[in-house]
Amino acid sequence: MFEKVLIANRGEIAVRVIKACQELGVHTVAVYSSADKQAPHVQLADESVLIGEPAPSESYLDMDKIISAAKDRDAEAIHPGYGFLSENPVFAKRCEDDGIVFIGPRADTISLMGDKIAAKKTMENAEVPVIPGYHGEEQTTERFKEEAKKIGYPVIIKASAGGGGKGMRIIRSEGELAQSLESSMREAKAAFGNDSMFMEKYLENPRHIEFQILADQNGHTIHLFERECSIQRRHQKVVEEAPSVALTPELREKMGDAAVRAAEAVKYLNAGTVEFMLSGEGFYFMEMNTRLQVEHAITETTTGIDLAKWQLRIASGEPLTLKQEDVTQRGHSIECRIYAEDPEKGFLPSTGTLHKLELPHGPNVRHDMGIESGQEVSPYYDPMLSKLIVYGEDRDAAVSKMVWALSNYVTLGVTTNVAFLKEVLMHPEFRKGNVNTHFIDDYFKDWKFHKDEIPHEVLIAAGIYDFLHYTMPKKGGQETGESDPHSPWKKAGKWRLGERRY
Amino acid sequence: MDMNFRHGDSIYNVQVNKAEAGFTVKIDDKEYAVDANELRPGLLQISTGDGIHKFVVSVNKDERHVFLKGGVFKLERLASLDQADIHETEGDLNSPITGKVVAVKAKDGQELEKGQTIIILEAMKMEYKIDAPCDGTVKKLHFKEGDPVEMGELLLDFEERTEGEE
Repeated sequence: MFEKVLIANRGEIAVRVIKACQELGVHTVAVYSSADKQAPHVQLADESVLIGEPAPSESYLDMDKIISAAKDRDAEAIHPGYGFLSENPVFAKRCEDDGIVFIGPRADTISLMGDKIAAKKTMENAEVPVIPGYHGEEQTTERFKEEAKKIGYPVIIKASAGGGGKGMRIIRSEGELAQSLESSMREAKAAFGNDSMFMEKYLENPRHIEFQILADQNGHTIHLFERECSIQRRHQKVVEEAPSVALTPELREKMGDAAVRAAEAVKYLNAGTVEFMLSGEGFYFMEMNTRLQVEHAITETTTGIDLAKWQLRIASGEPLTLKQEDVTQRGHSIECRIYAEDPEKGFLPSTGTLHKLELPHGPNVRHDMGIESGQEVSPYYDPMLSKLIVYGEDRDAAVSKMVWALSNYVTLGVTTNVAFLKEVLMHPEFRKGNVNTHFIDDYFKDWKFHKDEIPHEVLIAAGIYDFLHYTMPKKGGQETGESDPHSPWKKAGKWRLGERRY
Repeated sequence: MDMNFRHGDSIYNVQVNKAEAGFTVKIDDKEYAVDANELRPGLLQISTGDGIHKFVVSVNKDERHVFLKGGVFKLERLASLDQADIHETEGDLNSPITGKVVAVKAKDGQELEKGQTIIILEAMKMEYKIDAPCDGTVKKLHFKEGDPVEMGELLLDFEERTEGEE
């Protein structure tokens, strides 16, 4: 095992990896930007290195700074987390060249899988089913129009270098194509530094099913079953669950075999995910994510296997001692991604200070946190604040537990999607397991939390709170002064005779 | 104690008075007998006769955020009813996000039709389009490509075209 590992990421995934290292007795080095001085990952790591300004290009995406930090601190390996440099083959190669272990697949695998076009060709050769599409190098609007006609509308365009929904657009008719393509290319350029696009047949009611893979340096490859990630907004996942209600044992086995075949075809190393679209009984390879994923936790809870620790073990050269038949699914797990965003305003990211964060704790409730109460939510990074993961004996139990947990998940100061997630989980169609990737568009378009007037109880609560804590605002709307925090009135309880306090 | 809270477009008058047991709370014309406990700072247990609810309250200047069963209600404490007038909305051409201007699609003086894109903003790698809210003229753009922009900042002056001008 390594002596010391540098974690080239921030937020909950950096925290997750640091904890895995600590459990294995590995020293950790965190890197951070000047916006993250107080961040949990910095507090948790044994050492930390300031690597630059808040803009990702100046810090978390700056390969030179990260590699020299690793060298300065004698870290033997770098864990890239997800996002940032995790799927950048240049970075993986530079680590190799500098004698630092990149905790993930080999650079050429990342490169191959990052090129969605080459990835599909490879999969076709390995007899993994793929979706019809245009993956050519010619990037003109005319060519896209021509190819779209061949494939048949609707089509979807995606960034060749991308992921996470950035640069993705559905096009339903030829008239929409030119503007969507232009805007996608700009988004792709900003997010990945590369505006190359590809286009595919758009499946109308597909489910997003993905298989977790682990592979060691001897080529021993297993899958750890599926995750269903069909609940998405703006093509980004918000609710994930394992197992999927859509898979029969036969289909699960068939897809699992295909996933292993896909990984073996590229001599995959370490943890990865093979994503499929499932439409009826037909499944199609979408892409392979060459990293640990956001939603890895639900696989961990249902298989009992610690993926972050296996990543470290495999990278340090240990053999994967798990056999396919050793891995079983048990019970049901759901993850909700808690985002700083406003579901009433098209899921726009929200920023500000998280004044209050109170978490529901209980049996089989897991929190992967990258933020603490009182911290600033900045516009520089992905707006995901944390992940809430629950486990239940069956799907119903897991859904009920999640509804309970969300009902007690207090985030005040920054708008979050908690209330929205709760309604998704409570939706009768979700309860029945009738989900597909359009679920949110179909049932939650123009969703509003305040359907009616505000309940009077809420006004009563605000009124009593202010009665207990605050003097009258000064004329002209100046800031109110907080009263004595030790005032006995704060412990009001049943009131006895006394004076009004203003 | 007499308070006014704004929620969305509505303003509510809330009067809280200590009663012999608990409080009386009057909201507009409706009166409630309330029993309340602050179980720990910010956590209120409130019983109105209809049932017992727990609320978590956080305060930032005039903002009051009240959490109830997974939902958050955002209120604003107003100094007086007069103050409400100050906050009349200015139109929709304020930036809805804190981020960066990635493209400016119109020029000063340009006439636009409703729905035409004027400015494209970006935050956290997601694009957000600002479209003309109605037919009209761009009077003055306050931002250019690459400028950072704060939530709520006025992006441009825009004048609605009235039918007489056509």
